[in-house]
Amino acid sequence: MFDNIRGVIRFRANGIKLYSFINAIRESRIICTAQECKNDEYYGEIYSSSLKELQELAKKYNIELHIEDRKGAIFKVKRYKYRFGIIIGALVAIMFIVYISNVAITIEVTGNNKISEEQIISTLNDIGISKGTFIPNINFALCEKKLKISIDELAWVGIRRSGNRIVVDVDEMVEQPEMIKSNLPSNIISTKNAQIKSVKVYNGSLNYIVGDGVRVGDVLISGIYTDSKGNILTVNAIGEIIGEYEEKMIFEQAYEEEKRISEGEISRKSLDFFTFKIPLNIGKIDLDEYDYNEDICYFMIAGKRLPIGIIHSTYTPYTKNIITYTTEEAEELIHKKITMHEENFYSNVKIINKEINKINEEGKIKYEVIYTLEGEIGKKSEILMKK
Amino acid sequence: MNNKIIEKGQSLLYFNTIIQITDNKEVIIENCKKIIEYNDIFLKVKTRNMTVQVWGQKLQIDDYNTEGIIVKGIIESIELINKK
Repeated sequence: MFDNIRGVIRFRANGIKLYSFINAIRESRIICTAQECKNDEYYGEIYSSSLKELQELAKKYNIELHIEDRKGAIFKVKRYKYRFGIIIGALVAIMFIVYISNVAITIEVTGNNKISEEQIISTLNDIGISKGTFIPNINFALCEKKLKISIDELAWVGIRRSGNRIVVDVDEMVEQPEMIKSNLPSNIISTKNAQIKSVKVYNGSLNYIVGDGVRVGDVLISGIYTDSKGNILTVNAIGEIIGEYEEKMIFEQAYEEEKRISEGEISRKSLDFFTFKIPLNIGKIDLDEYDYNEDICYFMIAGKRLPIGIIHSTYTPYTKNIITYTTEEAEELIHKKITMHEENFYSNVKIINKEINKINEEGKIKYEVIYTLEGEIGKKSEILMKK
Repeated sequence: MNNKIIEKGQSLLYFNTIIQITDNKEVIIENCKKIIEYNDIFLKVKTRNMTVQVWGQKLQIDDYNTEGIIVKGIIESIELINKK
């Protein structure tokens, strides 16, 4: 291997004083291997560094010296010594390797349950740690402190380097469980103007009976009562009061409405190189109003994601148009709104009756819907007392 | 008496000719002074106190600058001729 690095020259020599030349080589302490004598010609192999000395000896003894072969990487390298492009390319490659081995390629977050990885990575970006950051420039201790201050829910943060990865170990704060005081004195009050339909009292004293009408704020089940000895006592009122009540809702639908109409999609690609965005398409997109969607495909090597990828950007331009509805179409839309409202807000109550009053106004259709509903009307209200 | 002292001195100073033969493939001759004759079937070298003649085929010499030579090839015979 070392011979290959140093370079070996195979030579051929002939002349009258050949043996003097051979012995002179020995006396000059030139390392000469594979020596052969054939047909009054002398062959041998020397290191390239001894060539000059050998040539001087050949001249001294009137020997004709011929270089037969040059073996070794040094001769190949010498051949390219004026190819500056290769040298520059090699230097750039070395610099690139050095740079690559010192930049953060991936950021891994471990130990998080409630706080999302995206939130932590986004905060790290603000602090100064992102993909492509030069790792020796990162002050880990300072970043740990900053990250902990930025996200309140973090109890402990540890940031370390593992090759090209930045590993962020976090410990989340364990929230103190809410203390529920079951014996806190309370009343159950009405949240609706309603007629009581049924009652279930588990604790406390009932103030109204089935069939009675109540107003908003009336105490339905009281948590204060007087015992047989005249002592005023407080309890946590528990019960279920079902009442019938009315609710008025108004739904509107204009005959003319402004709507967005999309006009196809424009796709563009760009190269994500250590978070730098390099466009791969020529031409600028000049759009007034559009929706934008982005999808990144990172390159992989042996299952590891590289910080280099292709960004697929999709622009969906749109224009705003005014759509005119007929009365039937507007009514259909308003019915959809009513159905949606019932599904969202009346899933826990029973609709007894629904009265629809149609009101025609200029430019729009208006529905006044009066619902008769049956459901829970009671709400817990704490009794505040002097300690 | 003098010869004995000279022999002992040469032995202590490693001036003796040491020849090491490995099969019929290699001969190492130490304390080699000069190559007198050399071709692919015959080699004649002068050492400190004798002349060594090697007969063989495809003879090759490696010289690693250590006052000795390594003769490679198919060795057929080695002759040792004392200095007169």
